[in-house]
Amino acid sequence: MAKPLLEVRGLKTYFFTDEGVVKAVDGIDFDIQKGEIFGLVGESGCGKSVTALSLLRVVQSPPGRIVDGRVMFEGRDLMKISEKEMRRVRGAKISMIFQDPHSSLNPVLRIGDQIAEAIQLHQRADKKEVPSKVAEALDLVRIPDPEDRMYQYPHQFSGGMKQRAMIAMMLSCNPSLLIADEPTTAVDVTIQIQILELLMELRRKRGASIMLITHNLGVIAEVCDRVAVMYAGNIVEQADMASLFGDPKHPYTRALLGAFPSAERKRGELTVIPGFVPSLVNPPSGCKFHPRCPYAKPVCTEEMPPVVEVDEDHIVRCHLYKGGKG
Amino acid sequence: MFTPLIERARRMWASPAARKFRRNKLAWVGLAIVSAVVFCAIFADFIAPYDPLEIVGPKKAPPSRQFLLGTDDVGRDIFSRIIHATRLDLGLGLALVGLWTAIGVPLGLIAGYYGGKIDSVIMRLVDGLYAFPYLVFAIAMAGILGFSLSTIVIALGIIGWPQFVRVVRGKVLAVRTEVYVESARAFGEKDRNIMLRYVLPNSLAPLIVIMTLSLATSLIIISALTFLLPVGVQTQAELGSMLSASFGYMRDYWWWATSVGLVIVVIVLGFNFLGDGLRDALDPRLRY
Repeated sequence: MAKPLLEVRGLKTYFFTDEGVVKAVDGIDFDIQKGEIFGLVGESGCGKSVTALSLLRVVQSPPGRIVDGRVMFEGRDLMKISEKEMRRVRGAKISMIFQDPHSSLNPVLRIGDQIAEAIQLHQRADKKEVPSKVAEALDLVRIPDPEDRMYQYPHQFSGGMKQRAMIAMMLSCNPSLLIADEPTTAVDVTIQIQILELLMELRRKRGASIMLITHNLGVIAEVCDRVAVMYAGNIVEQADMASLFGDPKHPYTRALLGAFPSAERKRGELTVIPGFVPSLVNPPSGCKFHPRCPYAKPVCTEEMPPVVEVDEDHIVRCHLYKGGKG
Repeated sequence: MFTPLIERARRMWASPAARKFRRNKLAWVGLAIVSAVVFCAIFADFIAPYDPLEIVGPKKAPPSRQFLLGTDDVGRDIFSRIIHATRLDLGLGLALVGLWTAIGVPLGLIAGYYGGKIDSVIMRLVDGLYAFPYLVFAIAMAGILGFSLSTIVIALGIIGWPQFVRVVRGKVLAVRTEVYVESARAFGEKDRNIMLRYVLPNSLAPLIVIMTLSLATSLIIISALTFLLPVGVQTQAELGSMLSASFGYMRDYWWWATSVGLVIVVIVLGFNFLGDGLRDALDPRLRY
């Protein structure tokens, strides 16, 4: 396989709180290829968003701190470069859109000013050219009348339009990786599809890679090439979309798929995963999923399972599988 | 391209905060008083019938059609002196609030935004200054620098800003966790820009309130100090020193001290009503 665009190894982000150390991201590895849409799924609070924030080194600190790990991007380790160099990566090379479009735009700046801010930050643009570039960016995400709309404030935009304006802003500098943190969660269903189509189109037109973070398996199935399933700070299974959905290996992935309604499976009840997401301050010993796992063996309570490659480009972290294939 | 000014004003008038303010009768009273005071201060030369520093009549004349509030102990028109004093006192008050804002806002912004050790250092300094008795410090400072209106303002400026830091820091702590601040960091915005373009503009509501309320406080403290300290009663018209001059004549010429004292009370009350109204309209959860 070609050299990946982004290579994450052993990333650990902990939060040092009064209650104890919260291991929000506890040693994860993954790659994102050029032009790929990579999905990261998991329940709320499993560390998806913290992973994204860690890649950009914008975890709120204190209390958060990236304690270990390597993130190779364009031949450099993003965890080692200076803050100044990092600022030139943020927005220009890797940019991120956030979950809630209603609160991710500065209410006191006009939409156009905010996009202009992003453009001027990373591109040497002529002052006179900036307005036309802003309009172009808004046009790209199909905001009607961009020349007028750019002079409006966020409160004059609908939720879907804000999200698109956000995407316009983040794409204005042609990043090679776009991190989308639950971009469809806070907008309604018809807008969700538009946003996803927009992301796919942008990938097609610009060849950008996208890291899509979501808890919605439907969204993943719609657009992703490869998927990683995250549970309590670890990646428990990682595979291409077809094999993850067709042949899930990890009990958690299976449970997650079982808990998701689908059009084909008309009858029968949805299964609920018993128990709750474990506390990250005091996680269960061994495999963190064992208290909720129907197949748990004694070894699961004692040892963290190793990463097993069950198939080509299909890895799983579970004691049910032993090295080699199958 | 730009929303026309009238359209903007109309929208502001219709905003929820403005509606809340409009329903508040006391806020209207405050606004009326403050407007009147500002008007007097600006047009003092046209409103006052006499020069505030000239001797224009007999000493200690009672109120009459010629001298609305009588004359003082050297024969200057008290009404004219009060009108001119609003200009001077308002100017001093604004200068003082300006100093507090200039010191307090950057410190509050930095403390709230960076947190950690910087925050601890700034806030311990604030706690320490809070422990100082205001008036004693200002009198001592002014004593060292020499008694004058400007040394009084400077002395008070040095000691009075801690509450600005607290108010701004509190709001900044809330604003900095907003997604648009996180998002600005994620697209590579510099800290200084984030503070000035994202955090500060969204933290203005409590700042406006505290500035209005502090203007009332600053007027009180300034007149208290000019009442106590010998700062040129004869050379200027200033409310505190006028009150001080009138004090000895309370029994026989009561209208003199009373009119000066009432003016101070009404002005301070006006700013307090206005500030309270703004607070209730802009940020109902704030209490200070």
